[in-house]
Amino acid sequence: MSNANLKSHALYWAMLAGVAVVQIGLLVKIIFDRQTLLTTGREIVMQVQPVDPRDWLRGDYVILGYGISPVSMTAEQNGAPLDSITPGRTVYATLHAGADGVWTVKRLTPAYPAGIEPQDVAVKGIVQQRWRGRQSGDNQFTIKYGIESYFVPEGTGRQLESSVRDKKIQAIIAVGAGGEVAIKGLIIDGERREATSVF
Amino acid sequence: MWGSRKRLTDDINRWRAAGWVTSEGEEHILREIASAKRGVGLASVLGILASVLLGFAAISFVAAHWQDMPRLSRLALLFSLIGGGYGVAGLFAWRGQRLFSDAAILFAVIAFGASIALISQMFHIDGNPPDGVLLWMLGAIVAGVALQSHPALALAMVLAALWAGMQSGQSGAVHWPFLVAWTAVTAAFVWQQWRPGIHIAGVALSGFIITLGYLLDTGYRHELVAVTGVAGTALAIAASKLRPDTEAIAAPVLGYAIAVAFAGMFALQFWGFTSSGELMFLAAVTLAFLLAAIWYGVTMQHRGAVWLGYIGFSIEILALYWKTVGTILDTSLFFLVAGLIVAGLAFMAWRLAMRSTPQEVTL
Repeated sequence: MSNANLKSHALYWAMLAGVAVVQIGLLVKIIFDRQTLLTTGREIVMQVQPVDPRDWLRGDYVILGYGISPVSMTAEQNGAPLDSITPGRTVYATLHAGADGVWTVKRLTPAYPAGIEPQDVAVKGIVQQRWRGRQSGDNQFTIKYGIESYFVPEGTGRQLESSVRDKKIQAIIAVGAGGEVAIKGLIIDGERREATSVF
Repeated sequence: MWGSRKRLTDDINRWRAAGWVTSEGEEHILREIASAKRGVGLASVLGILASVLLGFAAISFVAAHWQDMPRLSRLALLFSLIGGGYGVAGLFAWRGQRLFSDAAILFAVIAFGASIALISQMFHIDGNPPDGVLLWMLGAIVAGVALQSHPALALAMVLAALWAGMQSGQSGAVHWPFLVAWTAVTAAFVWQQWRPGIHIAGVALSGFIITLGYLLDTGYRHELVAVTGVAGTALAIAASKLRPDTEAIAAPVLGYAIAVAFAGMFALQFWGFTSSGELMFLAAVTLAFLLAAIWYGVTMQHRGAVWLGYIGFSIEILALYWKTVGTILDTSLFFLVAGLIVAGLAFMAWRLAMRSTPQEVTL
């Protein structure tokens, strides 16, 4: 083997190692960001309705329905025009908890809202649909926050669904400083189910 | 031997000049290299398929044993699949089997994508699925460029199309950032002078341009598609006339431009409401364009243009028949006129051929 050949082999090995490091590094970053969000984010608890378990390559998952996903809003209620809240766009929903502990959407803004009340919380989502409501000026939105899928062990999706059908089920959501949200776990009939930290 | 073939050719040139190999020896060596490159087609295809299958096997194994494994071990397993893929790629390259090394790289890139999905599952992430595809594509581009791996780049282009498709599906609008991804991957194809890559890029861009007609404004801007296609056709012809050295790229571009132009013209004629006068005009333009494509293809020996012209011509005629059926007299008149025009063209082409090759005329 010639000297030049040896050298290019060494370079190729270095390139291979570099690509592996970049790809694994990207994955580690996802995990690290998510773990940071889960441990440092503000914790809120929301009522959810499990709907229609599915399974896919990633295993079984239950779709969680949130009361804050369908939003009905007029520009007047919002205190700002709603023109830029269109399907596919990022939206920030300012949530407010009522006396009964149920979170509702107070405002929709295209950017992270300034000056939110300390008891309120802003969460980031993507507008899925928008259509005109019955009353004039009313708009109906469907917003996806990225906390709608809860993965469960293979074959237990339907079981979870039927076991919680008559019970109270809540999702524990971590909210980051920029409005990003993540599922921490579920509370089923007052019992907290939460995965342990990776680290 | 995984170093570039060009460098080897240069080396041999130098060795002959130095008198270490005879010019006859050089010829033999060059022929040997060329035949070796061609003979491994099947092996490389099977290697790629095997790596895809192995990728799926590994991923389903991880998915199936998911809950039994502590989280940290799951992550360790995913990372070792990626690292292992690149390690095996290095071993194959070391042994001079570049094709199998490419297959192992593809395996690692698939494992990277599956890891994104499985980590999303682990953390219940389902924010925006296209973001996951985008990240996967970036990983594939890094591998494709740094390791000069053609399969990884091909996968990157597929992922770019998937990413744009998912985003457009959500928003119902054109996903312009696709062009950035397309340019990056295509630049890598051109840089590596990989011919099939040019075709993959052509298919992806054609698909993107054709969907513009359905996504822009009111969802009916097919005239833009048709004009883009015709402009592309003209550019490709001009390029191959003025700069014959660009033929390697201009020739495939011509084929895709013809397909895009026809797709736009077809949608204009048959997807919207057109008066019969408009339809006749558009049909005449379309048929003239397709005949021109066939004529160019025949005279310039561009087989793709000939075939696209024939296929387009057949589709056009069938669609016209469906659209105008009901007024049989009109249909009959149209086909009569079209038939006479084509017959006239055939006669002119025959006369031209006679004149250019008089020595073959033995009537």
